[in-house]
Amino acid sequence: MKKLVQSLFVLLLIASSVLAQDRRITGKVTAAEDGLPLPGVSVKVIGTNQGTQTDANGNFAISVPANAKSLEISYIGFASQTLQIGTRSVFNVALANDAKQLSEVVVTGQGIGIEKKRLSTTVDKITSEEIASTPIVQLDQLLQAKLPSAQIRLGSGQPGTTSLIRSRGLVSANSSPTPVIYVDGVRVDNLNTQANLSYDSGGAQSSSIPDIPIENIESIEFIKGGAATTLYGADAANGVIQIFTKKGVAGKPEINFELQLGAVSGTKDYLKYNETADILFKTGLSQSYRLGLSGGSDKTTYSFSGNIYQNDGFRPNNAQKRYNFRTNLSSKLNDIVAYSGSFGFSANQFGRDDNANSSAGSFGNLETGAYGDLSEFTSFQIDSLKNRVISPIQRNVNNLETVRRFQTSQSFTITPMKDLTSKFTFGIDSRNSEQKQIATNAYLIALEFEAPGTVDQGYIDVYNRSFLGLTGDFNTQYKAELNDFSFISTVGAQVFRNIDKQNALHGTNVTEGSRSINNSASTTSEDYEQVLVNYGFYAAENIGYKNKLFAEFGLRFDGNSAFGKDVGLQSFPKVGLSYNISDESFFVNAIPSKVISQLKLRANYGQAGQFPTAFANDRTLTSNPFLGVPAYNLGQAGDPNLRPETTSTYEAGLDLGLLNGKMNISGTYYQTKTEDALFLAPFTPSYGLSNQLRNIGEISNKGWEFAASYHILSKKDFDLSFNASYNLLTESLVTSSGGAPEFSIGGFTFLGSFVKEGRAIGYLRGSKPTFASDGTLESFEANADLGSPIPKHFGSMGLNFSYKNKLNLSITGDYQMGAYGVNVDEVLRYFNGLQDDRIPEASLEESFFDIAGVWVEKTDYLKIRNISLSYNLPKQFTSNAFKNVEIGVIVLNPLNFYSSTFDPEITGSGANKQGGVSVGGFGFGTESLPRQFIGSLRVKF
Amino acid sequence: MKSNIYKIFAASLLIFSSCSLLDPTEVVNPNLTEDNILGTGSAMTPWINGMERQLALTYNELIVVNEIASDNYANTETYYNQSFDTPVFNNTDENVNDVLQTISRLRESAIYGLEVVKPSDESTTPDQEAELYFYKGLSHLLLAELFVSAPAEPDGAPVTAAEQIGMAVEAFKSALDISTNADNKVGYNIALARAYYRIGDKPNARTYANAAISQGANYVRFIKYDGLNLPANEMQVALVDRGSFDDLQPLPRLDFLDPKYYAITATDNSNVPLLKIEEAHLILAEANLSDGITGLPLALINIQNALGVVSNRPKSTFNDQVDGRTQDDPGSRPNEAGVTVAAGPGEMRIPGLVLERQASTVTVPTVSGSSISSANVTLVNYPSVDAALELLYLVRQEIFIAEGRRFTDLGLRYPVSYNEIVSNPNINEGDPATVGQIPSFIPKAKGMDSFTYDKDEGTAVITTNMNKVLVANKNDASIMPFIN
Repeated sequence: MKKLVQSLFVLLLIASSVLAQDRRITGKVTAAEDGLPLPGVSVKVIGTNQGTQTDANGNFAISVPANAKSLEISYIGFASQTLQIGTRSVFNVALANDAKQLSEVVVTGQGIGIEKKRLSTTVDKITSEEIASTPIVQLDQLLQAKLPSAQIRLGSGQPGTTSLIRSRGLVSANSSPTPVIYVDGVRVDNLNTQANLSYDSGGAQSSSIPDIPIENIESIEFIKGGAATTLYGADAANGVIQIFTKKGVAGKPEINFELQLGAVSGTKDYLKYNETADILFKTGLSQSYRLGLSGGSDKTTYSFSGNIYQNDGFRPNNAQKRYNFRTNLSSKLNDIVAYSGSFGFSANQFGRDDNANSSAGSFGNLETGAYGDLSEFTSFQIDSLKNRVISPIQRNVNNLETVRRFQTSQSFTITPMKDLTSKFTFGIDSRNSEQKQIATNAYLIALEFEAPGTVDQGYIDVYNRSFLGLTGDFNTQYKAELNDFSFISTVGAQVFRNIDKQNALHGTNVTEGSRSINNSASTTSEDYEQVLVNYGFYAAENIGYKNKLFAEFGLRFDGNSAFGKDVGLQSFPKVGLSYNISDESFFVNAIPSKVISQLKLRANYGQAGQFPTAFANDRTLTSNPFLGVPAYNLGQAGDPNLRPETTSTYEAGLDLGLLNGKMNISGTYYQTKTEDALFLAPFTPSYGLSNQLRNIGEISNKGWEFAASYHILSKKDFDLSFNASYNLLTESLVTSSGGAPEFSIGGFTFLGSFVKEGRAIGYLRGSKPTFASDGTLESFEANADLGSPIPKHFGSMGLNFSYKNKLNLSITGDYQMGAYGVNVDEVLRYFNGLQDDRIPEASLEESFFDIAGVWVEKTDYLKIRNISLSYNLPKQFTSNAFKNVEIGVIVLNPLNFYSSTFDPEITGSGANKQGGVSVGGFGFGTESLPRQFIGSLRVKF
Repeated sequence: MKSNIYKIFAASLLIFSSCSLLDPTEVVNPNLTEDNILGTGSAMTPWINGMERQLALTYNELIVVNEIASDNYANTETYYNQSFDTPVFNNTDENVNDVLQTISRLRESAIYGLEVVKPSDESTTPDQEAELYFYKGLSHLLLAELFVSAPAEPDGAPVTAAEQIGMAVEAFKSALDISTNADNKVGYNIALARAYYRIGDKPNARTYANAAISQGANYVRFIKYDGLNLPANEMQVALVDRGSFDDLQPLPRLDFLDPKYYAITATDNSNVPLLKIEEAHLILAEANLSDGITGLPLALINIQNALGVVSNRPKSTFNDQVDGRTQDDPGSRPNEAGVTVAAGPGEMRIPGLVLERQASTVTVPTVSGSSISSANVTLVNYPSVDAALELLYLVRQEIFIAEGRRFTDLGLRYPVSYNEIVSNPNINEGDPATVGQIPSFIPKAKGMDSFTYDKDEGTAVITTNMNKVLVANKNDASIMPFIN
């Protein structure tokens, strides 16, 4: 590893020491269809990493080396053009629409940018235009309904909570399905479960995803796993999300200002009692102010975006404030070395109330009948409940989470010779969070947990987590051509160092009114620390034949400091083939492009992995404080051979363009098999050992992914397009558990989420009752499979309409079918004697363990996530001081259609451990995503 | 060009020399490995502390479920096991698994202490070694008391209760032999008496019971809990700490004994009696009763002696208003001092068994309590063996409430768990060990917890007097080991 670092610096030095002569090229890029200028078009000097973007008027200016031969002009939605430079210095280019987008350049999974057409894998890319229709608050919300083959579900409407992000079933029974996430090439903390030491709200757990600094996004790429992720190695089996931020566009400074004002209101859609909303919900104000600045010269560009956001929340104790900024600087140091730096900062603070499996949660208590059947309450009783019970509780809730996060990426791109590009990236993600819960005696008395007059039960819990992630990334790409063959060779290395320090401070019998645990009768503390390093090396080759047929090969080796020399380096290979058959002359001659304009066949095989929980291989004893002395106990049994689980994926698919590219269809069949799957399975109970992570399982996922887009209307004034995706999971099974008994990964004793051979990961296990015609319980099947919370069908859809390029309407939504979930709220209503009629009268006295299956429901849904309408004010209404003024309206979560009697998206059952797997599926005392109505004003100076 | 080469050379030197500062391979492992701990050479004292902690964890797994399965407590609404309240024992039930696992863990921890920790720590004392034998013996005793049969070692074939007791006795005797701690030895004697009682060995049970009484007239050994650093007392959690949940509710006949555990302070939990001298008296009483009418007078004296100890046990007074009796279903359970309770239909209505739950304080015994006055334990009142047996089992029920003991007195036994069956090569589905034991005289469908309550009249009548049922079935092999 030391040698690698040395080599990188040597390369840097070589590069910065050599200079060459430039010449200047200018031009303008317009749309062929309407002649309008195209801003933000990528202009690259082929064979180098030099490039720029067109300004708002479609103009560009770039310095190119004397020996540069050609320029590549590319823009999403348009066919790229390659232009021979020759002696020309001015280029006016008209780009034609191209829904094929095959010449689009993608980076994720390839080391350095590579054309999509050369790939046997698929990369989903979201552009800044697509992002602009959504309020940019947090990454998971932003991506919701925008990725065709990934499902993103937010587990709670409370701020800062975990989400479920998954694509191809579940490939691990040990790790969270959250993909690894990069911002400008730097891996960031993607902990999407509770931390080792964290505040227990009963349900909604805090996540690191919502505070990833995502200001100023240029584009987002997502790869789902399989061969595409092989180059990310032993951590990437769940896929990779890569975020690229704006680097700035050469030209005069351009200032953007955005104001968003809105109302946030709790949805009543899923409520059992509308009175819950009357008592607890309120309409909150949200406001967001964003200032952007970009510009630069042909040598140096800059971009800044800052945002202040505040949201009162739709219920008490959920207010949220955040301050974000990101600044980018790119500079061409000389003909060989280019520098790019990106700095992002995010400060967030938000409140949280208990929920789900907490008897302190007001929402859950109201909804589950803890205070009785609210629908039968008189308005006087409702007022009384609100003023005498709920308000005193809510006035005393004091759970506050504060996160400060700094992230930077520093990269040098070196082009020492034509067709050879090296990139060195170093970056930091530093995240510090504090969760503080102050439970005063007044709060505990208001909850009726303590008798009136109690003075010695108040407590304060503080949980601090400090995460520092360091990324070092080096890769080199060499392009060569030989007769009909083209070669892109990539080698690279990555090193990640993660330092995760946590501590918890508990003070009990705290003096009323204190914010410090210093004022406690007794205090305790815990800490947790883990420092480890993941590193890997890879090489990949992409070989093209006649620019139509491409073969890919890759191999990565990975190591992890937590597992020592016994486990050593793990290898992950990939191989793929893609054939752009529609580029063949026989195809062009036989099939007119108005019928089939594009046909690409692709197939690949690749491996990626997931590391075991760090140090889970050690045989340990534990030392715990017990009655003031240290107490040793048996710890984990350990397994010296513990190694990453390996997910192998076979994938085949086609990309089809029809009707001159107006319609595009993409279909992929995949088959993944996770071998040596890590199961935290129990030993035989008579061993008396705790569960130990072991490589004993095997998991299989199979399915189809389809995505389609159709440009329905493309007239001078009107433009209408529709896109949709459909994903079918035909198999998601634990095919072997290595003989180990099944084990729980969530839920409850009476109805849990389990891992068992022959079942889906996290299948819902409980008794399945059979009732006789008279309603008595005839029999029940104990520990039956009551369904899987992983949907068999899911997808997203979107509609975009524009009129005269001024008025734009965008609608996005997503859906799922074929999954099951538990209506835990109804279980609690049953305890409170307020059950619905799912249990026959004659069986109401049966053990609820035996009839648990009645609470499992189908969780099909279709949710419209976002409707946005914007209008660019005509020039006559705006002052000359403004380049552009846009007003808009956004409605978030406006419509929900669902089969269950609870919100199928939310869940009160998160992962059991830090970074652990979770499948959701327990609708439980947790507020749904609120509805938001936002008015926006965007002004460009 | 030449100058560039110099620059590169200079920079390379710099990088080489600075690389030691950039070393990325440093790791911090939060674990204490086995080698770390044993390497200290002084692991035994913390290991013994850990055994106490493990004991607390073990009892946390079994007391709540044992009490639910018995007639002592009804599980009114919570996620604590509902099937056991019926009672139904499926080998697939997670609690069955947890009970087996946690007792096995207690045993394996003790064996680890003897076989691994002791050799690593030259300062190990005989008293510490004795304690390890005691915990090992206790694990076998618990398996004998709670399971039809169960493995006595990892992946072992299930062994009968008698065989488990054989191992328990051997371990307890080893403890007794090497211990120099007089107090602990009283406990070892009680444990031996309890073990011999389980297999109906009257002479040995008497011997060790008498030895215990002679050495520690007021002896009690507790399972200790740590409300600050955990484990907290799970039975206390179930009884009172879950605030607005009603959770476990006692049979009205036992209301005055509840809650035996409460939050002494915000961080001090109540401890649970593990072994107490009352048991030695009660074993002697049962031994004498099993001798027939000739033993009756002696048995009554034994019971009087037990009650004499009980009368000196501490009581605590605290506010219990939050521990609602009737919050979930108002008016469904007696919660006022004026209520009289009949132990069964047609039986005498007894006053004073129900406490005024909403009074500013309640006073409850924390080690042992009984509704029976020693003065009333006379031949006149209990003229027959059966009458005395019923009294004995009531007193046992009262004294051991919330300690997880009534389960065994009722003849209930768990099966080994499904996880054991599928992964232990020496057990097959359908083996006797895989089926639990619920004697035929146990009422079905929560019948043991059932009672009628007339709030207006202030009377509660328990549907089944289980102590009477036990006596009526005293020849059933599953109960009363001295008789069968």
